[in-house]
Amino acid sequence: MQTLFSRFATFPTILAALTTGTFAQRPVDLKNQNERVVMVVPLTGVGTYSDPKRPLLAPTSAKALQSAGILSYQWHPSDDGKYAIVEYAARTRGPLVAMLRDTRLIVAFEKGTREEIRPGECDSQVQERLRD
Amino acid sequence: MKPRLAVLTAVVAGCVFGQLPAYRTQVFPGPDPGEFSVNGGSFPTGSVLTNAGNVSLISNVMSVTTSEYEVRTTYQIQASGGSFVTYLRANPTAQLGGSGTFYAMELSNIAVASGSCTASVTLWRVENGVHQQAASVAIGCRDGMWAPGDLVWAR
Repeated sequence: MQTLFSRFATFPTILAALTTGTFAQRPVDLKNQNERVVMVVPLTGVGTYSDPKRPLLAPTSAKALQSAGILSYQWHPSDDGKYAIVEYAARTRGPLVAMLRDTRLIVAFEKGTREEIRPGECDSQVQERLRD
Repeated sequence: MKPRLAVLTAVVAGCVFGQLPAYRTQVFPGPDPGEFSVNGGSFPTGSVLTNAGNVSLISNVMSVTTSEYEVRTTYQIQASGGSFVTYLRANPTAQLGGSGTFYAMELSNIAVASGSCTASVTLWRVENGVHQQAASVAIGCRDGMWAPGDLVWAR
């Protein structure tokens, strides 16, 4: 009797354990999806609709953004308003590599890669350069 | 149920489910064009907002309960092209591509093809006509989508 019970109980137990494991997986945070770089760059643009104030390397229009293979970007100005800390996201690393090679960058970090940065290093280096 | 209790229940339920009532709902053509500052064109007379140019409608109706507010926009997207702009904290002369002081969320670069729809959302910060492009993101879209609810910002 005990053997019979064990035989019938084992399979559902294993199945339940696997099912729980599958559904317990947490989705990747949207902020960590795709390829991402954080940069400090000078601001550019004269402030019109067709040439707005924006970070260096940022496309001027939504159409140009997609053509460049960039999914999104967002930025904050430095205290003196001359620089921007900007995060670019792309589906693949290709479009970002060209940006990283630009000599006008002040500092750049690639999220989720090797020598990256000890915890807090990105913040401290960026803040150092954004100070007045 | 007593009326007071019913109202209280409705308010609590609304808060719990995040459905606070709108202080203003505008379906076009509006009942009173005077409630809007119109820049760059004329007040729409049809039920669908279409214009070949660049027209902005800035509501003059203020919330009586709070200075903070949220705007919910429902988009009718049936073909490629066009640009839809939602203005926030705008002065009466606000017009993207023109003058004024405001924040704006622009849905543009719309491409509809064989059941798929892609577009871009751009956040603008404009101060006395000086345009600053604060963020831009590529999105998927659909007819009847509404913002901000249907938009995934953190891409």
